[in-house]
Amino acid sequence: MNPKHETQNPKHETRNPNKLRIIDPVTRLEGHAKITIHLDDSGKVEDARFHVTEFRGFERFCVGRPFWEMPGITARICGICPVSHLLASAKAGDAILAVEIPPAAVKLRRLMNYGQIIQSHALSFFHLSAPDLLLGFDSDPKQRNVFGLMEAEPDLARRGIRLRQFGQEVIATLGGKKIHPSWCVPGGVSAPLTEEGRETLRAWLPEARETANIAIELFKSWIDQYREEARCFGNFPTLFMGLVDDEGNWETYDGRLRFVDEKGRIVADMLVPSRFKEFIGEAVEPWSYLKFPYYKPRGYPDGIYRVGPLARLNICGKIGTPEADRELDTYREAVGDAAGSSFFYHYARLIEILACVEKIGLLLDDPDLTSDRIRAHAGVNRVEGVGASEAPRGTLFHHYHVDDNGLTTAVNLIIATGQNNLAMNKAVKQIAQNHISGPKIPEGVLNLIEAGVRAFDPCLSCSTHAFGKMPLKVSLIGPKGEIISEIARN
Amino acid sequence: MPGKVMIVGYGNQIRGDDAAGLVLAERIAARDERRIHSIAMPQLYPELAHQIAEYDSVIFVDASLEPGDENDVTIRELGKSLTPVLLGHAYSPDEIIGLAKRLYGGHPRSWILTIPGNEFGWKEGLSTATEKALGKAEQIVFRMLEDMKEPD
Repeated sequence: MNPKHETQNPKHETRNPNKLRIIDPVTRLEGHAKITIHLDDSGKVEDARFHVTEFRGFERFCVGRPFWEMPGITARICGICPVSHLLASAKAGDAILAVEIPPAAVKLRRLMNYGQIIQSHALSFFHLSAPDLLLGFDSDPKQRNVFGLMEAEPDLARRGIRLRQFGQEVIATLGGKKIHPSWCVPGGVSAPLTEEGRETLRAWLPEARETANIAIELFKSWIDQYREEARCFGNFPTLFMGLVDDEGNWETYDGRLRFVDEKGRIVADMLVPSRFKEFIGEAVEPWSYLKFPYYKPRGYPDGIYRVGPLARLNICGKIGTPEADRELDTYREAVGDAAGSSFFYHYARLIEILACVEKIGLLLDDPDLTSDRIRAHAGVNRVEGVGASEAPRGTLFHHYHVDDNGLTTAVNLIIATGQNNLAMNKAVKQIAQNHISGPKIPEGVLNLIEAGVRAFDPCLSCSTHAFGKMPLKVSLIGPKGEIISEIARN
Repeated sequence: MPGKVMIVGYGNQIRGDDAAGLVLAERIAARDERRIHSIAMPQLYPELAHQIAEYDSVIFVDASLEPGDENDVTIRELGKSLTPVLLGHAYSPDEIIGLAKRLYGGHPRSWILTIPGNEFGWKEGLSTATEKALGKAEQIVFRMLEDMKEPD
């Protein structure tokens, strides 16, 4: 595949007599995830593609807006991870102001990010993934959801909701009753934590810690049962990327970028996030509106890399909190060579939840959180700014160009899910190659493909700025481009 | 007098008419009616179920993807069908009510009020047609509240 220059034509399509013509947006209102599986002349799976057909227009919409507004605007891209965008956007604004924000503001932003990671990971595990794992990938989709989980394990279901609620409580306590667009701002934050807020959050910690540990023990009890899924759910060599701190340890808000390979060897280290364009390229394929980021020195598509919980645990030395580090050691002993299997994103997510709970506990003891020195004030001192932080799904970049008045002239967002795009495609191909031969798509394959994609916990809303649910359609394409069979869900 | 009533409006503020539910919830909240708790949110979250379980009546408000005018505002009582969450992270009103009932023992009567959406591009603000439909929707809500009786 050769990378193509980005096109702005929303109806771009291409035809190749031996491959399927893809992407004629059905509607710009509800994107859908479409998967095409291409067979060669002998009927074997040659390729598989995860197409996202929703056109991304968000960056265009933002042009002309003051960079001060961007945190509030970008927070509205997505209802699940607005905080991630708040933080990355505010950091881009910090760069435009050319300020170092006060230490208290850094700690408050970190606190909010931990809350964000907890709530997002809790939703992913308890509501989306646990039903697969507890009830089985082949179980009836009508039951294989949070309602099936409630029937089987009502206490676990309630705990999962409460854990997510804790994460939301952290966010709301800091930012107001809902995500307040003016809390996280270029230069810092607009309000400290109150003492009352500190005690409210502290009261949640024991339950949150207990739930995280229960979930980790549960997953560990499933590992042997799902060795086969671990083998073929996105299990292939890639690079892994994420932020690390100055000592190469787990980092979610600041730090430098590190790439490691499938054996954990450092490929590139302490890269400055604002210079991401030097080492991250973005390819475009005509059959998807989601771009394909890759590690430039290795070219496209060999520069495939993954981000998110699996990557963060692969790249870090340690997490830095006792319980999470204990679980990290156990994780590394258990996953062994399968540290590259995307199936273990689920496990990594749970360890990160525990890590965030512990980190919050430590932060809440810091008197700086109630300081009123929380914002640096300045004007436009640079006309370009990059903000990078770890969203739950992986590293997020906001890159703005502004004029002398601070109005944006160009906006580029590199979303975590987008960075996993190559890997998601490869995972779908791997699942298809393992489970499809011949002209029919077995019914259970849809379940497996769903589960394979779900391991990445993609936020298709973020990566495409769409809204609505995501129907899933799988098409089997013959060597002449003919549709042999199709199945769909939702 | 109606029992405890919750209004939940949801949608995306920067996708044009998708904000209709949000806007209506915010307008109702601004009226500061003691009997109503009105909240606006970008999408429905599972922890909402715990809150909803404590109410007697819940009205969800969302934009419909079908274009129309004030004559196309619809209200439907929620039934028992449950649509499983797939790749997305959003819950439907039916699913939230299902969680409220099964996990928290709540039994609110519930409805989904849909306001026709005409323009869903990247913009803030409602189209003229949807704005008019919003006015009709608000009337429907308050007529419903007048009709609701306090439980025995």
